[in-house]
Amino acid sequence: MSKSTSTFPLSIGPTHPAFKEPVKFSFEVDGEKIVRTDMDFGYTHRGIEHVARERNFIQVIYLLERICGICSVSHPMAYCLAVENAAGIEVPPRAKYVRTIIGELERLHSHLLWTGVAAHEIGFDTLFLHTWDIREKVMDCLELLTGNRVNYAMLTIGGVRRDIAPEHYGILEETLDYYRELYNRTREILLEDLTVQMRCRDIGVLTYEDAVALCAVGPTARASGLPKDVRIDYPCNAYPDIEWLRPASPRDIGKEPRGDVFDRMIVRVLEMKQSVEIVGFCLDNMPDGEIVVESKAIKLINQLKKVKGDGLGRYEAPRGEVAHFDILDEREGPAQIKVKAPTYSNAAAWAVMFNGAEIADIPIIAASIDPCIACADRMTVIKNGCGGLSFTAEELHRLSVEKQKRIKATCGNS
Amino acid sequence: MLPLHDILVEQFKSEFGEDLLHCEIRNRPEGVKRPRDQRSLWLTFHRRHFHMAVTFLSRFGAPHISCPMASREYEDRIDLIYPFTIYGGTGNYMELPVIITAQVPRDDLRIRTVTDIVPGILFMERETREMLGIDIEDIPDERRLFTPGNLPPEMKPMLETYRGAGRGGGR
Amino acid sequence: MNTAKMLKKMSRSLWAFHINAGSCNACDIEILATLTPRYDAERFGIKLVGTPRHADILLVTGTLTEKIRENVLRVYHQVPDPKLVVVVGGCGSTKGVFQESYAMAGPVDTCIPVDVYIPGCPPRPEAIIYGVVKAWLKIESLEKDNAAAS
Repeated sequence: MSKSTSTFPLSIGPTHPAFKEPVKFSFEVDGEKIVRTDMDFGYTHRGIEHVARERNFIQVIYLLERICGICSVSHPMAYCLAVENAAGIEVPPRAKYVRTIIGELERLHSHLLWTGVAAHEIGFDTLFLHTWDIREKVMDCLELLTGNRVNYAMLTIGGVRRDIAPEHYGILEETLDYYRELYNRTREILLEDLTVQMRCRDIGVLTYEDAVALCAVGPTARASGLPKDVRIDYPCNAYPDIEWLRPASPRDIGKEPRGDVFDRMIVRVLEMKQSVEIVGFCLDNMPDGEIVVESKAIKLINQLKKVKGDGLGRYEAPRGEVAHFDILDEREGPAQIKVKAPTYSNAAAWAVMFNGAEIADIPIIAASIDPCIACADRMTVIKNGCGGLSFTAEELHRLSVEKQKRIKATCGNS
Repeated sequence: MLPLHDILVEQFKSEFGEDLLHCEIRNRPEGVKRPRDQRSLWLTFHRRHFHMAVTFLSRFGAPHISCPMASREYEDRIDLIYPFTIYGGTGNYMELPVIITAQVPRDDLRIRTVTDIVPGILFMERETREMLGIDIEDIPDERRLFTPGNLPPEMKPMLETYRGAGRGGGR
Repeated sequence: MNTAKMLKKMSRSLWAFHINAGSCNACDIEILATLTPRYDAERFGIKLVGTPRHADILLVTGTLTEKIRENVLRVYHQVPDPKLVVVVGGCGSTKGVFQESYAMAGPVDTCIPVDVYIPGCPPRPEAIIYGVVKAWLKIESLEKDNAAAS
């Protein structure tokens, strides 16, 4: 504190409900402006990589499903791809398509979830309830296909565990039509509403150069004009078959990417449409045949027990690239698993986004990389390290809503 | 004209010669109706050439780090596996994973940081420090990343010695 | 405060504060889904609040990691008496799939007293509402016992 008396520390967290790495933010604040950001990780560090070394190949799938409740397809998918790569297992075509469908439905529900959370953060609660309401339709669909709303237990090494039955097609088509119909309306609310724009434009900017240097992934990178998408760059499952698939970019609706919160919203809205179309494509082109190479778990484990090698599995989760590196060493289970969740990559970009932002924008910037649910936690402001006033998520949210009102007042008719 | 991965291999071979301990291209086609080749390049270096290798890689494009470093333990050394990818974000199935293994001798567990080339790797290097006890030289941030403060400092969870160390938990 | 007075205070709508004690977020999104139009827990007077000081019920999700233990304890003490603790999800009840991990301090009841466990991975929104109702019933039965005793 010696060099400047105008800045003071502001610490937020640590009970911040992100998934693999909840963060305690320590900001250095000059009035309303954030000058410096630091983060502390590990509050929900569960030692999964350590635990995974003591489980067999099949048990690990269900353990990895519980890395993140929202990416509960993505992590097992990356793991299965990694093991399949290491052991040279070929997945049947039908299983590839089923995997793609489940993955895209997950993306749809995750993006709707994010939209709701982001709307809540800028004080647009009507939209929050609206998106969560329409999200229930895809949750029903996932429940129908997999048997559970979250944590689907759908994937296994060498295929999937449940098929899409003939009677499911109609319901899936109906769901897709439901979203196609809603898309324009939702897009209009999100992308053309003036207040949303004023709240999200030029906030939390991540430039192209920073996105490359800090290894940003997913919608965060795409919004900065870096068209990184594992589905196109290094595709797995049915993605190589889809010719029209391109990384979503603000350019698609005629806007130059600026890398701000609004661009991240555009990218996610476009991806929802993409997901619906991909599921439609997969349903139309669904191959027949087996859904799994080896359905007996014991036989599969015995087969994998003979393998020595390593594999890298990469998959595009709703939030960006999920990568698993698995080492197989003639054991009943993987000798080592290393996991990278998308927020792991994107968290480094947070520091850049926060710099120069206002305190009232903290919630929306933190939410903009989609670290999961809103920060519904206790926060404390410590003035010059000596106690001071304490302030809650509610109050921070109130600050954010107040800013929204101010903006509304200045822009008149909307 | 040679495909990109072959050019990369040629370049690495001519630049590093004997110092490139192992080099391999793996291919695994993906897709059903339009199968696509998916290649990955696997390189092995001693830790003293590792930093140079990443610098050399960055000449072809900005390396992206895909996954935290996995490790493979031997009697005399620990292999650190860095899964980089390059040519990402170019579209058209161009991305190439370049998986660089760095051999770190057991009696001197140190490796130079590459945060000067790939700033995004910082968290992963911090994780390597606490999980494997490998000292990262010149790392800009020396704090722990994940592990709780009550974990004994000598316990490095991802080392083979600590396999099953948490067992006996539960109720 | 005597018990009768204490119980009377809680017999109205229950406000809940949610704390993530190392959860994978599955339970957390289901708690949030419980509040949204399909399940609409607010019609029963169940509401999520932003600070422990306004809460009657503490909803705890997750396994309770070493690093977060202190914070959970602090939040627990910040919730004004009388209070109930509801653990949402299998991890918080038994540590679930994370049994052997070195980073675990849990289950939650080793740290704070728990009144209701909601099993499931994650529990469905209906189950979460049911769990909160169970907490309610617990209050009612305590009320009866108390009335009988006096």
